[in-house]
Amino acid sequence: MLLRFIQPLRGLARLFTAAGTPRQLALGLAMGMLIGLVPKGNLTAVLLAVILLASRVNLGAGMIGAALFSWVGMLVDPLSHRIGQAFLTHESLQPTWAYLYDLPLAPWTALNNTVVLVSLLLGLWLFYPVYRLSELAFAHGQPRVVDWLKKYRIGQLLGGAEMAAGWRDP
Amino acid sequence: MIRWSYVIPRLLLLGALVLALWAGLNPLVRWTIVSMGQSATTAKVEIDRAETSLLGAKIHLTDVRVANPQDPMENLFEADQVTLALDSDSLLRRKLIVREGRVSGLRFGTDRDASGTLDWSIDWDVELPHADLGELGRQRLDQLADILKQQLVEQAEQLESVRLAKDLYERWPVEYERMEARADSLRGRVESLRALSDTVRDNPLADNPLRTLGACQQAALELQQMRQEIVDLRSEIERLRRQALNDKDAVVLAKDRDLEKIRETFQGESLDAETLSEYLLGEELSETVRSLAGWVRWGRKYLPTDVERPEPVRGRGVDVLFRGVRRRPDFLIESLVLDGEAQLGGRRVEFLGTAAGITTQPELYGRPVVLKARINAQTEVALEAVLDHTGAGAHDRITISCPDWKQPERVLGRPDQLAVFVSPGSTHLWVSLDLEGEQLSGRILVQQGPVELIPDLAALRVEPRLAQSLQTAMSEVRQIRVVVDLSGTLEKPEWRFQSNLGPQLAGAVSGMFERELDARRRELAAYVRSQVEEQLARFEGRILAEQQELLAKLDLNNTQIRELNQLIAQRLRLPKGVLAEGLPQGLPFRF
Repeated sequence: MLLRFIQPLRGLARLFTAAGTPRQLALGLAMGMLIGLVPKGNLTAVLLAVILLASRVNLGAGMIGAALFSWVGMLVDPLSHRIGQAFLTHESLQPTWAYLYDLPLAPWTALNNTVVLVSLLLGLWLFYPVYRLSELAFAHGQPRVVDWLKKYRIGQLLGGAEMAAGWRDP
Repeated sequence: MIRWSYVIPRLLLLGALVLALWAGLNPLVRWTIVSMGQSATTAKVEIDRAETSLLGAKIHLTDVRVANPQDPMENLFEADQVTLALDSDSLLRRKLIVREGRVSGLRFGTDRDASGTLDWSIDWDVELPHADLGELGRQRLDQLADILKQQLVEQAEQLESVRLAKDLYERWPVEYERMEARADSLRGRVESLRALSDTVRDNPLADNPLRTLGACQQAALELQQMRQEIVDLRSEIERLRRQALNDKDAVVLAKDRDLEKIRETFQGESLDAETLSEYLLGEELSETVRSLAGWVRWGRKYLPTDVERPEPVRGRGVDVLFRGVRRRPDFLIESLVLDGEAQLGGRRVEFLGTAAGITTQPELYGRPVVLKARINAQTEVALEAVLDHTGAGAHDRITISCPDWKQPERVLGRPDQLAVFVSPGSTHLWVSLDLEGEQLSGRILVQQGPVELIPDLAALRVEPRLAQSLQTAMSEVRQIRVVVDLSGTLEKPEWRFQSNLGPQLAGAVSGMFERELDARRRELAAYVRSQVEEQLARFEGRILAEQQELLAKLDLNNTQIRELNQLIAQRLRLPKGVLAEGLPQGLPFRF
């Protein structure tokens, strides 16, 4: 019964310990950030989710990133809308946009939406910095977390057998 | 080198996804259509089976039933098979375009085994417009029929003069009986006094006036009272005489008023052709207009217009429409073939039709919905509806043409008034309605021939001779041709009738009514005169007799009192004239 309650915490602990290298964690977080920023219900979001699922990245980090940046995305929506409006209604870009929009499947991507386009561009622009910074953070933070978990009984409880195996094979 | 530990789980995942899509696509399509249908109709939508072909971009539905939200135990429609061929290119561009489709076995208003209601409180009622278009003709004929249906005696009984004369004849004898009773009572008292006087006279002590003084004084007092009563009675008779004269005058005045009223009431307005046509055909055609207007309103409720469309509410961002991109509706049925059964004139008939341009965004599509149907039964009916909702307001045009409608024998008008039996025959019906916004214009053309018309006037009790003349006039009508011009609004349609029935029959019917009314007027006036005069003559005769009898009684009483007076005066040895004997003279009592 108790295990059922601590299952999410075990997942979190596993995120920082056993399941993957700092690179995989950082890639997962960056991709999650991208998914989180983009509004859902369109082909763009579906494709990003498929890429996340199909890549060899840490899914937990991706989900945390998506959840976290969904909130951030909401906060930056007004700004995204204004920038998107400027982009999409720019006179010189109209023929290009019209051509792209007329391609098969393009309307499903919702890239003619002011927020979707700018959120995607923002996510792509932030992708590398987030990846790099988080990789550094995970590289420094992962051993410390493992040490901390080893020290305390609660860490052993959260880690269980899988974590112990991970500790044996750093 | 391939890392199988990485590839295999992902291949398995992809395989599972494809399998889920293959197995779940049909239920998903079925669920989507049911959800959308239920959301639109607020009643149950049932589909037995849905088959989807991704490669062919086709959807095939079997046994589709859509419940009627106004009657949950009835289907709005049901169809055996629905096949929709989608435009795959449009599907890739997020547009659901049905290039062509076929709905087979379409039936309307079929029964359901279970209730089709959903617990949604959306008002589906479509209020039918107020179109009681035959009202004017009906009111006019109602007035005439009310007059003609009454018996002469019934009509006369309602008149004031007849009622007053009767009342006079019945009331006055009662008054006189009361007076007679008083006179009789007076006579009784005189007799009693006479008996008292005889007792006094026969008394051995009568010579001594002192001994009979008390009795005589009492008799004198009684005599005095009786005299006074006779005076009162005579003045009462005088009052009654004046009252009788007034009552008689009132009856005469009432008679004059009644005769005037009879003249006014029986001044039948002549029936013009339009009124008569409206009376005979109004109800039948009013129902047609009402049904069509109802269907238009129903259609308008569910076919969107540019004006009604609310702006989509988006939480995040705005969809920009690029210049140069052709705007197309999200949902469109380009062409749909319909076949099935419909109810027409109480009979099940098979129909074949097409529907084109059904869309959720008519302003983007730019073309109206065009419905065409052809009913092939004993007769052929062609219907064409062009529902143009592309502009700011709806503009609907409906044309129905039925060149050879087999009509059974039917009754025009009302059997309880003036009715006309129409022989069975072939009718050409043509209806054209044009509704721009709420403004209605249109025309209904009905043509039936050869036809035989038989009037039914039994309820009106007109003279057989007049009924025969009407029948002769109607026998000349070999064709019914009605043109109805519609105007007004959808809520309150108005119409103008033109019919060959009117001019051909109005003269005959109006003449018949006028002659009948004139005869009735003269007959009733004569009846009233005779009734009133007869009652008054009887009244006068009876009153005179009663009065003479009463006066005779009073004269007799007067004489007796005078005798008694003398007798008592002798007994009391009073000088003559001490007891008053002067009584008022008889009063004249003549009309």
